[in-house]
Amino acid sequence: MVRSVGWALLPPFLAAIFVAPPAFAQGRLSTLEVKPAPSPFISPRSVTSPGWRSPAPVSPARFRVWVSAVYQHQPGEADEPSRPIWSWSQTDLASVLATLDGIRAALSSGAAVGVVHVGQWTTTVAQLHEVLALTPAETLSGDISRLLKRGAILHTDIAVAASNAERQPDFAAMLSLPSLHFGMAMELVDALRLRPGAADQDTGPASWRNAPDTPFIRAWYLATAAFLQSQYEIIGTPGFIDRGLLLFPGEPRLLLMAGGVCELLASPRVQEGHDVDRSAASIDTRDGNLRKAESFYRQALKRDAALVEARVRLGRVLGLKGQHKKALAELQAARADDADQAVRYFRLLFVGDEQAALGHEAAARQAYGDALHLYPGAQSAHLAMSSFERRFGIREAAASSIRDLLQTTAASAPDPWAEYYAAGDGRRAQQLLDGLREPFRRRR
Amino acid sequence: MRRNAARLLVIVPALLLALASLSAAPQKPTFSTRVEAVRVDVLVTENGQPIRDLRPADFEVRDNGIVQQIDLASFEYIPLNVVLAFDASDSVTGERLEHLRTAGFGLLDGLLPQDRAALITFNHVLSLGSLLTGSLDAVRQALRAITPGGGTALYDATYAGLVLGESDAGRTLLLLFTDGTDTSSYLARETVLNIAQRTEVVVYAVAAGNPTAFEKDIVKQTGGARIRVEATADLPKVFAGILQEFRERYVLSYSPRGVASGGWHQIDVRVKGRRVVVKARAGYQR
Repeated sequence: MVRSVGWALLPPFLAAIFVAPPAFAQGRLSTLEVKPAPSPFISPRSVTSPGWRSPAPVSPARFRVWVSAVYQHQPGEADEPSRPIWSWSQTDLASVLATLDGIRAALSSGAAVGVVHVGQWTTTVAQLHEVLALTPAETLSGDISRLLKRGAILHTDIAVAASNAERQPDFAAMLSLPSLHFGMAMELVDALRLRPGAADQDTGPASWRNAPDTPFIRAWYLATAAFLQSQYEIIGTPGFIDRGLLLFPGEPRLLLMAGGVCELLASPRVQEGHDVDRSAASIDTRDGNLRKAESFYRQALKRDAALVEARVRLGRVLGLKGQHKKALAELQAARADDADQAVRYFRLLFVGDEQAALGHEAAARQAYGDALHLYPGAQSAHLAMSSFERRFGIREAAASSIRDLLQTTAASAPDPWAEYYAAGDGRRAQQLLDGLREPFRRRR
Repeated sequence: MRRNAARLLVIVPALLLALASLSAAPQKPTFSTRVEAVRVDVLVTENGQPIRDLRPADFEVRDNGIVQQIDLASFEYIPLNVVLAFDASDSVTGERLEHLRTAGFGLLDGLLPQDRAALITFNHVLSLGSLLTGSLDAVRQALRAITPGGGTALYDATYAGLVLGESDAGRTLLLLFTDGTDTSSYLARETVLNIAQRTEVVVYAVAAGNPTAFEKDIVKQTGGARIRVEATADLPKVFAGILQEFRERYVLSYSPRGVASGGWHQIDVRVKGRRVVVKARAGYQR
């Protein structure tokens, strides 16, 4: 029998993150993989965490340090107030969660006065209100959601900073692993469902979807999944998307990102990676991942038929599977006029590829030409055009395209292909993170 | 038969003329396989040592299983085009980059006056160091200017090297150096391998680390070799060895007879009556 202190706010998922090898920071591939929702992986009650023991609540002094950091931190900045907890260990963070859980239980007990116990910490409800810096309204309702949200922002910011700092050893040495802080943030977000009076066992997906803070929870999952995907982070992203899809089944934006992750997993970077033990890491084959990507895109389109990027990507995946006629049909059906410029470019590029595969020389040349018109000098379009010419035996045109390509630079000729594997919101990760932070930023 | 003989007369002089013209005017590409001749770069070794005294009659070439008449087997000096395609991703820094530069300089120093060289560097973007040129100082300058950073568009760079290399006269060696896996290419590996089947460029792939399946396939396809270096300090020696080996290859030429004109043609090259190792491209696509 596990006592709720610690466990209610430290469900097995976090424990799994904590006890799992810190694969995120090491850049290795973990055993996590995307599965079409609903996934058994994230069923909160199906995951056990061998070896994990419930931590004791943190000391009052240390808890005050954490609360202070939460409130003083300016969202989006690696600032001084957040610094004390940059290097906290998994035990430290888990103890904070255990303390929060104890406090929540104390506040929801209905006892307005008198002594309460949070682990070894003997205090009063009034003192807890003071420690938590609750507003009068929050005090009345016992609502700690503001603290939880700000805490989630703080730990997300630390995780983002740690991810970006991996190539700055001096800075990185001061930070805990990104996965710890992403995991901590996720637990704080998930705890938002636990309102005063809610049963401890109320952990089912339905209750999450009905939580009053659903917009924040949704925005957090979208922003973090987008950020991880933008980093081509194939360890954490599937788990975040998977869990997001459990909370928000059929969310087309998450489904689009899930498909993008599968395309990435099918790519040479993963399939031929030197450091990737694909069998040990249970990473599916190229074909397996392409099948999953197709499934995710089809699910997304079922929910939102106007999601042009999903249709364009579906076309590419079908092409990679050798189904060129079907691929071309999807690409031609994609109404890209209102899509962003990168998606329009991808569509033209892939239309060219499929026309070429079907032997339609003029149509292929036209599509590649249109792509180059949209992004003059983009290397991917030059490569596509050149290889197409070469396959049809037109050597001089092929060489000419390559010579043109080699005159360009990333700066002189932006190429959307560089961001292809960041699908949908993955290309807007910073924007989503900023949007998440904005309501919590202090005006100066 | 009469028609074949007539065609042979056209082809062989065309090839010889082209080879001769390389010495006289290397800037003017005149050699072309469009006259239907198939050229095969062949390395013959015995106990690891190249054999240099073979004549056309010593070789047997089969095209899709059909024995072909060899028009030319040259071990003479033919000007080289050496296309260097160097990984300049963010892992090629510091000592590793210096070793690569030193190896590149050494290889350029080993070229003869009529040889030409080009340099392409790649991270997630391809960059031109120099197009094929006899002015090797320009290539040296480009080597000095390599600035690493970013991902690895290995397939794209290989493709660009193949296409640039075949756009000029002479024998072409594409020397590919990488220390990683493709992370950024637009072109699929199958596309690049397919194009490799259509060129006469020979690819030598040098990997600092474990070679990938792609490297294995591209060198097999083109009759080159892949070399894994444990330490990049070995690169100068490895590059010099590649250049020497490439110079010790024969150039065979034949006009396909008795085989379909299109599709994939498997090439088998043997040396009659000797137990030797023969390395040549796997075939060609028409």
